[in-house]
Amino acid sequence: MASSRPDLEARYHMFEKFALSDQRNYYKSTVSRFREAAAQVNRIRALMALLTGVAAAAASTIVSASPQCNIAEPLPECGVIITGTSVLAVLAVILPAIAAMFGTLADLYQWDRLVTIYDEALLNIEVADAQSPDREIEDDVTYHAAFLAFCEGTLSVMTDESAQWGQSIRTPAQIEKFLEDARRRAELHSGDASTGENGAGG
Amino acid sequence: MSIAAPPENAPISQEKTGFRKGWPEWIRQLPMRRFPPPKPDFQLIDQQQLDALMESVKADPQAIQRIKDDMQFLDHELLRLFRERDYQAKYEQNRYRTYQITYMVLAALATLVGSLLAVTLRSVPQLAPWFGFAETIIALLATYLATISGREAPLPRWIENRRRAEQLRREYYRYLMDLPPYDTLKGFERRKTLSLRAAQINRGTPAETNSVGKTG
Repeated sequence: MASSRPDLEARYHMFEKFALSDQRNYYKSTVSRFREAAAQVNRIRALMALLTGVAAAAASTIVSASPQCNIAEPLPECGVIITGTSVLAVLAVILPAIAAMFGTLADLYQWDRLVTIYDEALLNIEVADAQSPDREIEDDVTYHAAFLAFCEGTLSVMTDESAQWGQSIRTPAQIEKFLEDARRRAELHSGDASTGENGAGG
Repeated sequence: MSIAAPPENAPISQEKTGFRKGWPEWIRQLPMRRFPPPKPDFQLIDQQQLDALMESVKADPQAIQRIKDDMQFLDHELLRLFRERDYQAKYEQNRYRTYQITYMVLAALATLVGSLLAVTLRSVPQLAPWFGFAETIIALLATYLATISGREAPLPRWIENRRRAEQLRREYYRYLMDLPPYDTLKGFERRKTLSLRAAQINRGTPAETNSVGKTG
């Protein structure tokens, strides 16, 4: 069908632009977006951990520095100190829960793992690109062989990347455990053991 | 939110461009509340871009015509299947992440309520039953969501639709570039082989081989 030289050349340019270059752009933009998202979430987790430590340390310091307020009937001027330490204690509870939520978000999106997959695909697509046929090849058989190697190499990179992507998608273990605990707790109250059998996949 | 034009080197996709523009990247990747409808005219190769490319490389007019004939046939036999699979994969991905993020929020709330229960148990014991009640409501809510999402679990549907869409995309280029098994076929046989292989991929039967014999 596409055996004539002009036909092959036209198809080569088409494949180079719409398949290979598009795929390369996709890998590049995905790697950049995923790296950014992973870094942002990591910063939020670190910030939450830092604030938790500060809140706990501040609460403990205030309590140690105000012994007159740590008695059964504290002085009236202790109101601000008691409120302050209560707020800090609540923060020391809330912030780790938020940090854990962002940890699960990172596990759900698998940014770091996918960046590795797409980075590797980018390197492989350059290898496929290196096999592209040159207009200066005079022999049509050689041109056709180079064209085949170029296209098959690119499609093979796409196949490998798809297969690896499929293997990397998993429901985070923390969510599986939470659903299992919730199901057990719900059963205690409803007495129904059959609910949510497939929930982990959801 | 305004929809910006895609940058020149943006990958070809059915996805909405400019979605949550200006927001941090991790927020932009969160699921959508209102999932957009499919794009019935979506093309893997833009006609205008193709014309411009063919003109710039001074392609042979007969070769261009043959390419356009192939694309027209692909549009009916393969691209419509690709559009459906690609859209369905994105839809299920959005559904899966919506459920997972809801569970994450519920898990964080459960941890929070449990911690508050532990903190107040000694100082304000009269609050303990209320925290216990809140924990039970969260557990019941999570179980309810797990039950309704489990009927048509989005994760396997997302992965399966994506796998088939990507296979259809590769088949599109395989036919267009006249790669095996199409290189040795002509006319009706070539078109029939494409139709059959596209239908097999869409059904979930592997057709990722270079020869007709292996795929039937």
